[in-house]
Amino acid sequence: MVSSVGWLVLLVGVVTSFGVCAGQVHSDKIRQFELKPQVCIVKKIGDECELLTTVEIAATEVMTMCLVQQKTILKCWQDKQIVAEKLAILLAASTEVELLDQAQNVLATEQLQVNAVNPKRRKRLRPAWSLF
Amino acid sequence: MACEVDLKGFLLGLCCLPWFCYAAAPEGYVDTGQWHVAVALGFGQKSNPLIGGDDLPLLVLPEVAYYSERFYFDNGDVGYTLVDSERFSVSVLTRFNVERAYFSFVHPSNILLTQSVSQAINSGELCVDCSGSESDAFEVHLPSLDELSSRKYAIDGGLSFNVHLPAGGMVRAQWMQDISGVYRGQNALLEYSSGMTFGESRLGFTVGARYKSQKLMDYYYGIGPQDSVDPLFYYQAKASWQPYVKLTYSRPINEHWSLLTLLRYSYLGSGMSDSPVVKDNSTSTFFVGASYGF
Repeated sequence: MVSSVGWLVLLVGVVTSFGVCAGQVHSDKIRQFELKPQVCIVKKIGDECELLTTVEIAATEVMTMCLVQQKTILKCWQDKQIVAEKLAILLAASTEVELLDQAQNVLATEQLQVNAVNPKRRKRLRPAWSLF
Repeated sequence: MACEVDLKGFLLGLCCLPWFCYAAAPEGYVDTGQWHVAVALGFGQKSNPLIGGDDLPLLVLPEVAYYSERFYFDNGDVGYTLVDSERFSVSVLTRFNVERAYFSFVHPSNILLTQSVSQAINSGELCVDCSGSESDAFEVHLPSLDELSSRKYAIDGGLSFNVHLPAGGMVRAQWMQDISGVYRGQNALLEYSSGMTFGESRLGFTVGARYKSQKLMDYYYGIGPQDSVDPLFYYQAKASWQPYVKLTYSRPINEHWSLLTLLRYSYLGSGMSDSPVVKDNSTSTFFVGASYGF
């Protein structure tokens, strides 16, 4: 059933965005840190995959930042406050990427997942809401 | 994609609501063995191209799917997948043919007039109300929709070929045959669908065309001996290609609710729009509301 709160939210048109997909921010210097998508699908566990993901960073000040995957620098941005760009990341397994500042302080982290094609998951054969 | 009814997986489920979290629910996939249910509430309508037809109201839209390893139910399609791979699948399926739905929303007293009869009336060869007329024109009785025989719902069965493109889109081709003996014809579908994510919003895009055979069109939109009207008004409908385009916009409001907007436009083709029971050459559908994923 539709709750009254639900209708109120709908009627006033308040659109809130939950940050469940955003990365974990560890510093006040970072307002937003997000990688989308975060999941790479492989045929079987152990296969490598290349995740083409969009990196979005919003810092509170201009700074130098590096995205690091297991101590390997994926990309650095010098004197930037806003970053929004596509990045190809090679993944062999689920891993965490870190956003570091010049002093190698961890500003934010994000978990990237490698999922094998789940035998309990399959391709959908109709687009959503395709009845109409 | 709707969320599964599974309290145990509630936390995971947060990310499986309609386009709620792109990352945890890869677009185009569905978990097997669970019902995926969502309901959209709002306002919308589908235009009715029939003469005297009321637009079909859309207030509550269901979205129901269930997939097992081979069997599936998806918004009315009941199918069994014969070949299933990452890129390609072949399924046999059956479903109701919804052509009949338009006839549920018509005012039966509306008058039908074929083009040839209309021309004959204009030229004076026929007259409708001849009382007091001194002309030699033949008098005709204009039939109304309620003088036509009832059109029945049909059940189609056929094959579906799905190609899942590397970029994330899907091409769907279907060939369906009436298996209920109602219209004894065929229909086919060729469709491309894809989607884009903007932040947490998602825009779905579908373009395609549906083919409807002469027998299908003639059963629903033709007029013949089965109808209690003067043979002057007989009309044989032709096969029709009906191209369409559809847009779907969705944006999460919270863990259960998403804003949902649907727009669809379809050209009906002369095979349908030339029928005396049809007044429009296209149909349009819109819906604005909110969907709730269970």
